[in-house]
Amino acid sequence: MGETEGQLLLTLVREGGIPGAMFALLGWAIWRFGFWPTAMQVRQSPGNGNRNCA
Amino acid sequence: MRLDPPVSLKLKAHGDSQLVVSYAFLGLALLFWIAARANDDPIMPAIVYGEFVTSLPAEVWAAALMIASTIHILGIVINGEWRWSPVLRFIGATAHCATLSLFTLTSFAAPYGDFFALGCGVFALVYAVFMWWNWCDIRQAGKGR
Repeated sequence: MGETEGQLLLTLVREGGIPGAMFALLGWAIWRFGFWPTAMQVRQSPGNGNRNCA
Repeated sequence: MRLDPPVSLKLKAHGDSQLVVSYAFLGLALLFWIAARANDDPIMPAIVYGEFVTSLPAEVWAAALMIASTIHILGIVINGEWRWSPVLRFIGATAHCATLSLFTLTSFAAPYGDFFALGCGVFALVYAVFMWWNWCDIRQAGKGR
């Protein structure tokens, strides 16, 4: 890695862009999909009896 | 028991453990990043972490762990909504496993890094197990059932 690329990487990381982007992404995903994943919930629907019950 | 295609049996059985570990790593990496930003002097001494790791600033490692955790958590949260979300989980777990394995190797070679190497080694193994679970999910997603 050249000096210029290294400096750029360091500036990006130091200025908080990466943590900010990560938490923004996570916030969007939780808002969109919910905190607890769909597959981790016990799902039951009238059509399939109890086959999906844990 | 049979579940609909995008629903992961592995995640149903072990998803909360993956979520908790990755949230813990995200929090730790954020604290690490804040500590590295708040201190002008390097916070990772070479006698503990090894020469290679300390050749890069601590923020870079904190950012690497944060990115890996976020990708892993995204894969867990999205699961069931997108068929190939196990790929995200696998990438996140692989990045964690690689970073932690690197920490283990370099700090084990350093004079005072044994304790840190032990901790990182344990979590590298934990993430290796997560890689395996998510690899199973990728195979399941690929089979189309």
